[in-house]
Amino acid sequence: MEQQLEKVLSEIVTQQDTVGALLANRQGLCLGAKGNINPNVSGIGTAISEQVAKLEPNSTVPATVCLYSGNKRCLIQKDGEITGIIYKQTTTASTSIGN
Amino acid sequence: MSDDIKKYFNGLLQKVSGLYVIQITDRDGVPLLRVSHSQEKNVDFALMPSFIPTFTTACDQASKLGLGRNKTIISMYSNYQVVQMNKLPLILTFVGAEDCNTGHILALEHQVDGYLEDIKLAVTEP
Amino acid sequence: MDYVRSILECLASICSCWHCTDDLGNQGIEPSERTHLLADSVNQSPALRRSNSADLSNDCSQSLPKKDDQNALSRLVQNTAINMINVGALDSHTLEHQEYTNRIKTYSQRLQQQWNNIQHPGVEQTGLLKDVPNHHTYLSKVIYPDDTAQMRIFIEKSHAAVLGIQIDHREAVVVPFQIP
Repeated sequence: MEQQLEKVLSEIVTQQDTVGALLANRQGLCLGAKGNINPNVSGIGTAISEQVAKLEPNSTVPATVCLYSGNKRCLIQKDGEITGIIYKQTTTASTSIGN
Repeated sequence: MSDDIKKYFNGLLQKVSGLYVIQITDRDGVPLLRVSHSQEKNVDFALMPSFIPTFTTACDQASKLGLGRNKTIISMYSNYQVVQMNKLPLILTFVGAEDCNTGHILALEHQVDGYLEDIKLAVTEP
Repeated sequence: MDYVRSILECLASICSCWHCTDDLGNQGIEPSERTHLLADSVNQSPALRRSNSADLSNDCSQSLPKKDDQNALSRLVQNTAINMINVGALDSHTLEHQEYTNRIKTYSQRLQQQWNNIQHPGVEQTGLLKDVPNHHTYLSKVIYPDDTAQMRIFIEKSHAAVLGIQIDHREAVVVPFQIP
């Protein structure tokens, strides 16, 4: 049924630095989530990407939002009906000194 | 007084685009608080005498399906969507456009919980 | 009497079974659709007499001698009625206009009193980046090309995957209920 989607999400979370990935539909409802990510962020993620899309209404390329917080960052992109959210964690030496 | 809380709920209403009304009633549909976009569509149906009690009963019956207590019912219509949350003795109702961000509405739930605890005191026996 | 007792035991076993899987009984402190709101005297509307079950058990307990057996039986009947999915109960529980306006008045008075006493959490905006000690570091963050590339691939693959979602039904679509 949604094995292919599960596979895509699993692939993404195994990539370097990635800790979680989520996919939301047009209504901000979670279609699937893998890794360390709360499915409830789907609504807010979609809302953020919708607001950002208003900055360049004529752009044909979907905008990517990157939010930084501590040693983590959150990437959001909305393309057509779906919104993807990826959580990443920096493990490089420069940021781990601070911890 | 309740100006503060009204302001807070108005703020929530602004945050979600396409959301028309947030209302807090008791389970029989008696309103305690209602914020709405004054210039938006006419969504008075959400306070029709039968609207909230029907949700209460539906919620009660849906809790018997063996899946645990029913918490939220989302109804999609051709022009509106209605998200109702069971916060007994209160009922929290959101009315929005059909393409409004449902996930965002659901995410408001934990934000308002603190306020609802205070409002609950007004409905229950002292 | 033996007959009654056997029915009773049978019902008791069913109900206890329900109760172990379900917490629907309203004996807990959890508010449910049937717990009273304000003091009883306020609920004057005849339409508001809550679902059949409560009344049923009251009638039983009044008309019959108060034996333990009878009490247990009426409790079972009540619990069974509560646990039954009853679409017929979906009739209107509308309040009478008078009570409706009375309650609006009561609630607004009570809210007035309460908001004077309660310290509600601050509603004012805390401001952008106020909780971040040295925000300069964040303002100078770079966007990693890897991130955007990863996101592009994720979205591309997801589009294909979402199109591939379909119902994969294995059982009969219509299932008859086992009603004797």
